Amino acid sequence: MTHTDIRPAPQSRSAAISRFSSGALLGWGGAVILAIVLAQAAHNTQVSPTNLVTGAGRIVDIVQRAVPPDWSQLPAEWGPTRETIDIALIGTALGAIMACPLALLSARTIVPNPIIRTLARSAVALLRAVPDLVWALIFVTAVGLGPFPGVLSLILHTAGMLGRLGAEMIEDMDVMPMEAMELAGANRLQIFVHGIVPTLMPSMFGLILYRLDENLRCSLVLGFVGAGGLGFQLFTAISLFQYRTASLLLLMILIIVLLVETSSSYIRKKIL
Amino acid sequence: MSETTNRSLLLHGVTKSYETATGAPKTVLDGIDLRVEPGELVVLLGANGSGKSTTLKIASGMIPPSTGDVRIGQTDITRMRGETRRQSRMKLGMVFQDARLIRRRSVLSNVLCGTLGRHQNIATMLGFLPRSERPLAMSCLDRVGLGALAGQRASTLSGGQAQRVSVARALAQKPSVILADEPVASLDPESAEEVMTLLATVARNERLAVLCVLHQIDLARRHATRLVGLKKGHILFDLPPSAVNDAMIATLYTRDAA
Ligand SMILES: Nc1ncnc2c1ncn2[C@@H]1O[C@H](COP(=O)(O)OP(=O)(O)OP(=O)(O)O)[C@@H](O)[C@H]1O
Ligand SMILES: [Mg+2]
Repeated sequence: MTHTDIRPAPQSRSAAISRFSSGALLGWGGAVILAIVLAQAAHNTQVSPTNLVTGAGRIVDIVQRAVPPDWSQLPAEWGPTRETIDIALIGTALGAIMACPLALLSARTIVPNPIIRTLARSAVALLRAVPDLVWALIFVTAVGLGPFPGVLSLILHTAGMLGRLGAEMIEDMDVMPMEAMELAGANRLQIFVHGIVPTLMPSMFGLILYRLDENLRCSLVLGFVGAGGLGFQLFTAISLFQYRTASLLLLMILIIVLLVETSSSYIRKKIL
Repeated sequence: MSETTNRSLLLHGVTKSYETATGAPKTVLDGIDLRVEPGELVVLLGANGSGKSTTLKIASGMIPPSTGDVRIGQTDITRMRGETRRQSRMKLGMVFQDARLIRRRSVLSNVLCGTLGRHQNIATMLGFLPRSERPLAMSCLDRVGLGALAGQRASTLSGGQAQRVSVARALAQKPSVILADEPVASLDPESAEEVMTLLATVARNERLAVLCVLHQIDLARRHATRLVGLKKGHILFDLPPSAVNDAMIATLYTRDAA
């Protein structure tokens, strides 16, 4: 570490003092503005407790028609269950692979060239900005109903999310050990596989598992627009007023989500 | 004297000016002549900002000097590029204030990483460490007294242990020269003593030229074969410890009225 001058520069010091004294004022001002913004949001979205009370009766009615779950449907739902899990698995895996070059190319510490970096970042931003549901609608139109459009939309969304988080992780990484390797005569590829990969692998793997968990939930919603799996079954059941089938499906979804969530968080804890 | 001519570190007429925001370049080193022979531990002393780190960075080839040159033995390594530069870097082992280990890897793997420069093949580029270097890496660890920790993760080491591992990693490079910038700055007195003893032993027994920046005068006096005082980019003295008196040290650290 070189610390040649630890005195703060005069102007940054006075700036720090004025920031300190105006802190409380800013805090209260911010709170008032936030309250106003929230009040208009509640008004605009027609948040109304009375409507909720009158609607409660209908909710009770639906729940009554949904119990008990129609267990006889259970064997028929194994196929869609596997499909949902497989959509999440393959979408996450291929998305993660696609995210790797994007993350590397958009990390400041790896790519000094601002043009390449901006291109990569824009691609990542676009992938992320378009909701996976919209990707799914586009792909259902393009390649037809079924699990494949679901997989495609998960790949793109996952690549966008992991591309960004991965780039942040790469930029936050301590590069000093890599610099030490370079000074010891290692080449770029060696620095990558022996320095960067072992350093990032566990947290990258953790991110991917977390994404798998999210993607499972996403793939359920994607089914609603025709992209296969349990979501599609649920959508069909509700449309046909088969509430007891729907409740069975919801129960299965709950169990799968909980299973994947607990196992992925367990593995994440183990490797980090 | 073939050993001396082939493995000594030589800085000749080195100057360094940094570009500054105001436009006027700032001269940080102003004509440095310095020679470190194999077997010597030369300690560089000087106040903050006197140019010690800059000297080491130039010696290691991390940054180029404005004028002058750096030699290892007969080879001028100052303005090398590409493959020849990579080759010359292997001759220089570096020890930093923070050990700069790959924290998630084992102690032994970290030491083996020091040998990668000699093994530029498919296997090492696919992530395998050179097996043939294991005995050497183990012996380097034994020399720093940490053979027993070979399998432990680097993140679990104490500061002093990590620093000794980084010395072992430098040794695994089979260098001619070791450069150490404040290697004991974040260590407690006992660990600092250990690391300096280690560097002195390495210099003596392995016939390495060791150049080390220190802020601890007593440590420097006890372990160095020579003390070099740097002030505002000039060498104030270059003498064996016994010839350096308190007045010289005092002059080194007093700030002249500007
Ligand atoms: N990249 C740089 N650009 C501009 N000036 C620099 C740069 N690096 C160092 N300097 C300046 O060069 C001078 C010498 O710095 P150097 O790091 O060599 O000092 P040092 O003797 O190692 O100090 P310390 O004991 O604090 O580590 C300082 O005034 C510093 O501000
Ligand atoms: Mg320094």
